[in-house]
This record gives sequence, C-alpha cells and structure tokens, in this order.
Amino acid sequence: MTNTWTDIGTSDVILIIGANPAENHPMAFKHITYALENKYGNTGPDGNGAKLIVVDPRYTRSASKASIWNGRQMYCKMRSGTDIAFVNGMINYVIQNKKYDQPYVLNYSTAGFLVNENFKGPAETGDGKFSGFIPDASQPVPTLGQIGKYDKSSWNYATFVSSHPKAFKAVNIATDFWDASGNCSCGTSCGFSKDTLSLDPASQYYIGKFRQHLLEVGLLNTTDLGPNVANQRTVWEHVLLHYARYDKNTVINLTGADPLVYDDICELFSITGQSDKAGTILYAMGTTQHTVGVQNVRAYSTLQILLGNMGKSGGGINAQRGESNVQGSTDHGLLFHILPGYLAQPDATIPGDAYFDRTDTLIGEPGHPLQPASYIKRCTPFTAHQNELNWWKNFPKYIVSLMKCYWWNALGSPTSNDPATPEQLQAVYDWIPKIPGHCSHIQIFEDMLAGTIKGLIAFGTNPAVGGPNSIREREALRKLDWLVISELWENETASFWRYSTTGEPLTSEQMAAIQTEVFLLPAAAHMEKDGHVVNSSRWAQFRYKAVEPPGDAEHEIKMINRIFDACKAAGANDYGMTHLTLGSGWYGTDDPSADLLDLEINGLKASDLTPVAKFADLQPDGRTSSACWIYCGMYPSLGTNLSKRRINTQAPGMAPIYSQWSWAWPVNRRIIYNGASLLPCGWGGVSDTPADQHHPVIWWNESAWVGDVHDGVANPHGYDGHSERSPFIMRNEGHARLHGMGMAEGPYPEHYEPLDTPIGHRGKNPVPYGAGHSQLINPCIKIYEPNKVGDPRNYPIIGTTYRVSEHWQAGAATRHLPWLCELMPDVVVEMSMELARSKGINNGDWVRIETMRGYMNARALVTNRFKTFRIFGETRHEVGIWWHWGYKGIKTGHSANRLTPHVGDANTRIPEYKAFLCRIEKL
Amino acid sequence: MGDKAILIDTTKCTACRGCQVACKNWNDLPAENTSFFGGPGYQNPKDLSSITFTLVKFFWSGRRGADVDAYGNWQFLKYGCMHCLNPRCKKVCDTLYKAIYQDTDGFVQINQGICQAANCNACIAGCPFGVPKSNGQSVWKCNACISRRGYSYPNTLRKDPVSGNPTASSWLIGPELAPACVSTCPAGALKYGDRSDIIALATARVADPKVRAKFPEVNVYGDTGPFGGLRVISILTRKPGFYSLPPKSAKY
Repeated sequence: MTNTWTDIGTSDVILIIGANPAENHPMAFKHITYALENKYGNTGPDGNGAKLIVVDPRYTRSASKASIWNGRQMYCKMRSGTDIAFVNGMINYVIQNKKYDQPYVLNYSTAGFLVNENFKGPAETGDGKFSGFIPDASQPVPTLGQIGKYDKSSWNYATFVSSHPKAFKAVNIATDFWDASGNCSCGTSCGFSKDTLSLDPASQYYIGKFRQHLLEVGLLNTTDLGPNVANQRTVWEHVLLHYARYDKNTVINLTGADPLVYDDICELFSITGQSDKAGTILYAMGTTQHTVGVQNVRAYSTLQILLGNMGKSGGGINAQRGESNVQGSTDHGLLFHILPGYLAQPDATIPGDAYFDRTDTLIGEPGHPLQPASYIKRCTPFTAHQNELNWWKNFPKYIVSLMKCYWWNALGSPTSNDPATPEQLQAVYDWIPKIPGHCSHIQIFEDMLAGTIKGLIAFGTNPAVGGPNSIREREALRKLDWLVISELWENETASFWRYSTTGEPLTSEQMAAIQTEVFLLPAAAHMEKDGHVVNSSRWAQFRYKAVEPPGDAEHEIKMINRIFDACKAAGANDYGMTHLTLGSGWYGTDDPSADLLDLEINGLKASDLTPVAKFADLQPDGRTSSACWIYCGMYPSLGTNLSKRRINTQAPGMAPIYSQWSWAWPVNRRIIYNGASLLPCGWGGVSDTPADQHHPVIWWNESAWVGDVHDGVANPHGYDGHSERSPFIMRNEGHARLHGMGMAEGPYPEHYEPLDTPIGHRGKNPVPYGAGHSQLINPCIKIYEPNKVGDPRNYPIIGTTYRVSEHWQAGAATRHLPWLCELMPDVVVEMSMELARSKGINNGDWVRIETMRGYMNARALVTNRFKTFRIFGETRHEVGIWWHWGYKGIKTGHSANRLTPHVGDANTRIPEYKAFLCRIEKL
Repeated sequence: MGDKAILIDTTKCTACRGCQVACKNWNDLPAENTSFFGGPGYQNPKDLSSITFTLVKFFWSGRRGADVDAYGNWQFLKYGCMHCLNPRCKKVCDTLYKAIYQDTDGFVQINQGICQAANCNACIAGCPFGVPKSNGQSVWKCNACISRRGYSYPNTLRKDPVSGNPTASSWLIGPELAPACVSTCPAGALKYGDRSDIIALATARVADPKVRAKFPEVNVYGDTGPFGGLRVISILTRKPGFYSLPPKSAKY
C-alpha cells in the first residue's frame, strides 16, 4: 500500500476493483465504513460522505455496501480479465473530459518528457504490440497471437538527461527559462509562463511546443536535446494516442459492463481529480492473478497519477495483502527475484552478474573486474537531474550492508571501522547464490516435473491445493527425492503420497511406489510464537506469544536455524556456507529470539556493535550491516524495538496515520511519496501548501517539515519560493511514470485477453486499430502447456476462483476448524439464474466443471449475483468457484485449481487463477 | 448492571459471520455438521439450534423498480434471541416451572437446572421469533454472554450441550465485557450499552441523510415495539416483513 489502512477513512471516493474486502479483509472494511460515515470530516464528492464503487464479475458482500450515485448503485460487473480495458476507458474519460489534475500531471508526472523517436505504441504499429518486438519462431498458439520478447531500446526517453523537463541544459531552470514573475525569459511576448503551460496539444501553450519555442528563441540548442528533436513526441502525446482507442463502445463490448453504471463510475471517480479531493483504489488478487497482472496495476496507477491522487491522504493505490504477513515476507526476500529489501537477486543468465550459468558452464572470467561492480552498476540507476534525489542511487550501500550481515567476518573488520577490500567484496559476492533466470512458482514445479529440482522445503504453503493446475503439481511432488513441510496440520501437500493426484486414497502398494521421503515439521501457530508481523500498511508490529505451542510444535525461527546449522556443519565451502554468520553463528545461541532477529534486520555498526540508527547511515564498504535496509531504523538503539510501540493517539487536523503506533518502513513514513500531497510550484517542485487543507500529510513549519515523515522533499522556499526537487524520489527522474519503460510487455497497459479467452474464436483483439489485430494474448508470457489452452467453442463459460471470509487460502487451517466448516461446508460454484436454467441446474445440485486441465465437482449456488455478459453481441456466462478444498480436513472436496492453467504474468509469473474457460454439466 | 441493550446495524453488517464463530467460541458450542443446503446467499446452518445461538441470515431483495437496486440488495441480519422487555417465553414458563428469568441487565435467561428437570418446551411455542431450541433435554438460546457480564449462572454450571461437562466459560469472567459477538464485530455493526444510549444511536443513524440515500426504508426495530420493546435493537435496511420479522406494531 502507498497509504495506510487508517488513512482510507479520509478518502472521498473509494474504488474497489479486483478485491473484496468485506469478505477477504473484513477488518479493512471498518476503515471504508469510517470514510462512508465521514469519521474524519472528509466531504466526499457531494458534501455528503465518501462514495464507494465496487467493480467485480459478481455482486459481492462488498458490493452490497456500494454507494448510490445518480440514482444508481455504484456496482459494475466486469468480465474477468478485462481490468485494463475497464480502467483504460476511465483514463480515456478523464483525458477527453479534462478531468485530470493538470498542475499535478504537468509537474509531478513524466507527461512533459520526450520519448525516443523510434518508439511506437499499438496505436501506430497496428499489430497490438509495441516497437521492438522479436517474435519467437517456436511460439505455440498462433491463433491467439505471437509470443516473443521486446528489444526495449526504443522505449526509453529521447536522451534521458536532456529529456528531463528541468534539464534542457545542465543549468537550473529559473534563470534560463523564467523571469521573476514566472514568464518565459525569451524577452518576446510569447505568452509562455509557469501558469499557462498546458497538457492540451491543441493549445498554443502545450508543453511540447514550449521546447520548440525555446529552440526557436535560442534559449536551447538542438545539441542540448539530442538529434531529431522535431520527431520526438512527449510522453503526453503518446498517452493521448494510446488511451483514445479505449472508447466507451469498445470497453463495454469487451468488459460486458453496464453502460449507464460505467458512465456514472467514470464521472464519480474523476471528481477526485480536483486537487482537494482524494480517491483511493483498493485491489488484491483479483487484479494481480492474470497474465496481465502487473499491467492491471499500472493502469490503476496511471489513473491515480492523472487524477493527482498519489501521495495524498485518502488516495494512493492500495494492495490488500492476502495474508497477515505477506508484506513482511516479500520485504524479506521471499520472492525469487529479490533479496531482502527489494534488492535485485544476482542472475546467472545476465552477463556480468555471475560466471556460471545453472549448468556450470563458464560464461565469464573468474575474477572478472566487472564483478560485482557490473551487478551493482546494473542495479543502481543514474540520477537524471542534479536536483532529483534518485533514492536508488544508494543501492551499493544496501547490498553491501546485506552482504556484511550474511558474512560479517569476511567483509571489512568484525570489530572495527575498517572498510572492506575490493578482494573481500569480490569473494563475498561470489558466495551469493545466482538464480538461473526465472524461478517462480510455476517454473519450479515444471523443474520438479523435469527432474531438475530434487527437494522442496515448503513452509506455510499448500501447492497441492493452492498451486495452479494442481493435479500437475501433485504429479510434480511425486518426482521429488524429499519434501520438508512445516504445518499446523497434515495438509494435502504433506500427505500427497497417500492419495492419487485426483484425491482418492491409495493402497499400501501404490503408496510404496512413491519414492519421495516426506518430513512433516509441526509448526507453532501465530498465537504460539513471538515475532513482528508486517501488515499491508507496511507496519511492523511485534506480536507476543500468548500460549505455548502444543506437543513438539516449534517456532519456525528455531526450525530454520537448525536446518541452517546443519547445512553449515555439512560444509558447502564453495558457496560460503561455512562463513555465514547469520543466525546462530552471530548470536552464539541455537535459539535466537525474535527480538534479536529484529536487531539483525535493522543492522549494526562494526565499530561498536550498536544499531545503525537510520538507513541513510548505511555504508557501501562493510562498515555497517543490515539484513533488510528498509527496516533500518526500526531498532534505532539497543533496547528500543519500535515495532513494540503502542501509542494509539493521533494529532487532530491531519491525515489519520497514527504515526506512534508500531513502526512503518521506510523510516516510519505512513504515506509514500507524500511530497505529492503538496500543491506544485515551479516546474516539478513542491510548494509549502497541502492540496487538502483538512487532512494535510506534511506541511512546512518555519524551518522543517512536520506531520508524516516527509518523503525526501527539499525546502519549499529553497528555490524561488518552491522546492527544486520532484516528489517521486524512488524514480531517477523524480517524476511519476506515465511511460513505464521497465515493463515486459510495453510502457502502456494494453488490453490482452486471458490465455483461455472467450473471444479466441473471433481471432481478433478488438481494441481499435482498423478492424482490430490478431494479438489476442499478452505476447511476452511463457506458455508451458500449449495443448492445454481452452477454446471457447468447446469451453464456452468463463470461470474464476476466489476466497470467502470463512475459508483462508488453501484451507490447510480453516478446513480443520469445525466452526468454519460449519459455515462453509461444501465446495460451491456460483452461477447465474440464466445459466442454471439453460443447463437444468437447480440450487444445491452437484455439477461437474471441466476445463482443458481437468474437472471438479461442486454444489451449484444459483444466484442473482452473477449476471450474464454481452461480449460483442454474444451472451457469455461466468461462474465463480471457491477454491480452498482438498482431500484433507474435516470437510473435503475438489480443489478449484484442478481447473486453472499453468501460465503466469509476463513480468512476475503470478499464476492466472482468475480467468479461464470451462464447461458445466449437471451430475 | 442496569438497563442494557445490543444494537444490530444492518447498514454496516458485511456478513463476515465473525459473530457466529465468536459465539460458539465463547460459549464452547460444538459445530454442527452442515452441508450446503441451497439457502439464500451463504447462510449456514439453516436455523438456530441448541448449539447455535446466533446466525447471520442472508436475504436477497431482487429488483424493486428503480435503478437503485438494479442488482437487488443483498441484506444480512444477525439473528438470535431478541431479549424482549416483556418476554412471552418467560410468561409461559412462569405459569409452569419458572425456569426463565431476566438477569439484572434485563436479558432473558434460562435456568438450565429447572429446565432440564421439566423439559416441557412450552417456551418454544411461546416465542414469536422462533428462537428457543431444545436438544431433547432442555431449551437453549442466546444468554447475551452472561458470563462476560459479571454474573455466574445460578443453580447450575454451564455445561457442554453434548458432553454435559462443565466448560471453561462457565466461570465468571466479568465485570462488564460486551457479549462476544459485539466484541468481535469488525464492521462496527454491533454495539452494546445502556438501552437509552443504544436507542439514541439507532435513531440518529436512521435519520442520517447519508444512510437514507442508500437505504430509503431504513428503520429502527425494537425500541418501542414489537411486543412492547426489545433489548436487541436493530437498524433494518428494509421493512421488518422483508426479514420475516413481526411488524413493529405487533403485540402479544
């Protein structure tokens, strides 16, 4: 979350899309209710309290609380997998009706940046792809489009430095372009001033024309801008081209949304483009679990940037985490591609990161002078303009401090302030494991099937139920030599060897044929262990043990520590195992406490073994350690663990962020990019005036920022009455990116269908370009099973899966609790009255749902809450399945993931659980 | 001690059913072996029982004319003993065994010692809300978590309805914890307090134009009627009949 749970209470309009907080985040709904009740005095769009909008394929318990606007309830149905079309249409509405927050977009976004003249979006290429596409000749499903990857060289800014609006030249902006009253300093009556600059290309004061003007009057030389400046477009011109194609007609036909409600939603949410109004977007797995999951989030972010909602109280884009500590686990490097603190994991497939690829083939020179320098250089962005903070320039401090934490004695001095030598840095870098390219969930199960992964340690995960295409994943488990699993109960994964892949009990002979050795470690439940838990608000809250764990159950810290010690004793010298100091080696105990681990996470100074007070003090040379730089400052001095703080008071007259409760990363900042909550001034700088006077996030008090911990914002009076620094400090250009050149499948979100697409038989992606184009699916995904793609002629019904309040994740806990099984005893498929009627299905009947991957049986819940969709004149039904069942527990049933495909997002490979094709018959 | 009440605000309830689980937890009630019964929405179990004292009922209103409810409205009502000011179950029992009484906060209680000895079930027929349920030996219903409010059960220990063993929560915990359902409600839909305060809160909520904009029929149920008033005061989004409740004007 960019913002914080409590802050949702000040929102004026709340858009829930791809989430269902009333059911899956019940505590979150309290804060939504606060907003609807005006608890913090927010006025809402009509002075009568906040408004709630819910967009979802079905009418949920959250939707039941959606507000009334223009006499209609603000619930809109949307076919699964069409978020980009839905939101791009909203963006188009905002642009066409000029509802954007122009000062914000001009100053804080990249709208004014120049893009490489070779860049082309789908509006110009005509084939549904961006410039630079390299098709893979062996692409597997030609009817759905090409598969390949991008050469992204044309996606960058024109010339990165000179493209920066502040950096037409390496000089400061005021003296060169503006006179004292803020008019253009060209000396002619050109009319350009800080106030007249416009985002409208038709206006004579359009930002793009300003550059041309400066060239004409000689304030700027073409050499400052690089070649072909006349051919370069601004980001804003590309924005206009890209989103104009998402006209309402196309959006309604793609999404199946109700056109009247869609209009109202566009109108209502765009009211938050006013600088003193804030709108927030709440999303969760309904957004991310798609082959276009990351681009879905980019579409939301783009909308929020245009409406000026980022950085403000009651604004932001807020991902609701699926488990209490998902935020903490990703912060601490649970995902394959990052080390703790979101530091890129060295990757053997990237030349310069490592010498060896995964087959131990030499791809570089040992002792190559570029290593680790080339890895660090790859991960450290340059500063695009001298005034911008570019926070990630500190990457070397964070990675070296992490290496110091892992190998305390091998880097610098263990007890003094001596810095590390380059040789030490080289040696320690060599010990960091290099990933062999993509190692996401789907990939490791494919590798298990292929026999290249022999063992699996599974903590708190139940892939036999929760993994996509779960029957395939159950087959993969059978190929393992060993499986270590830590659980409260023996779940489906731990007991896979007792059951067939479809869940029938095996005979003892059949069990004996499975060679995998399974170790089940009894885990302590959350009430039975200490440790800090990080919520979606990034708050690290220390939680104390309430009761002793039963029997042999133990804290994972102890389990992992024993595994760690055993590995160390086994002595894998090659990988630096024996030199590792993490954990027991460091503390001289085989039972490190959670509090001590917090200290290690925070980091220590080698000189005196006291905590590092803040991450700005971390050093790139082995004089400091930190196991996760973003948590540096949580434990600022010995004996002070701020995650234990419990002060629940809140200063009146500001955003309700409860700064003294626990501790939030980074540096206890509750609202990220909070400089953008100030009205802009100058070009890209901030003033001292909060946009929302009722809920200011930060404000200037004579000599310092007060309120929330300010996000790297400089003195607002430091330069000609404003700050010279732009608020998006994590970006090297300091501005919010409307043009995201880092994405796998394009800088702008483009609608692609799910792999199982209900319009696949049409052969056309209808997003306007003439008669449409043939790129139906995301061109950058990896398709593992091309022969298991659903065809809408055989599988005409859209399927999706979701959670309910009563069951959690793969049900490993909740299906062992009688009270929860009482509430939700059976696996259920929800369907519309129309579909049920056409299939002769009655409420409560057993039905079979079948996809290209497999089938499952479930009880039918026939309901008004699912409606049919009209997709380009065809009627399409969608059904929704609760996914938590399996063959263990008090209540058993088929897992919905028997149906879902082995395919994931092009960037992250999060599985596409949320949209597939199926057919249904009554049993 | 005093004149207490529980508020159920259906304009805020999201039907997470935390109250159902909290009730079973506090009162050590076993789970029922249910199956999906095709009821409205996600409701389960089907009805109250001697081991289910509270239950969130789901209602679907369907289209009702204006576009306001194009998808109908999904309504939720936490259901259980209404703790009538003048309980008819008590009136019936008074003429027979005097097992039913009102505790000092005014909530209606069943003396299980007397009830088990009598096992007459007359109160079941007497209740206009269909609340009391027998397990064959005696009648059970919501006790407004008397063990959280500073009183122990008179005469008999609270016993597990299945095993008959005294249970942990039969011990006096008090004083003055709100009932478990109220404490657990994440939506803030349940409140506990003095009855006059609860009625004032409900009356103000119903008059709020924000609430009326979304729920034009919103009304207070249980303040003055039915049956002379209840100790469970509900803010209903729809008229009582929609929830199959007796009209507010109903009298014994």
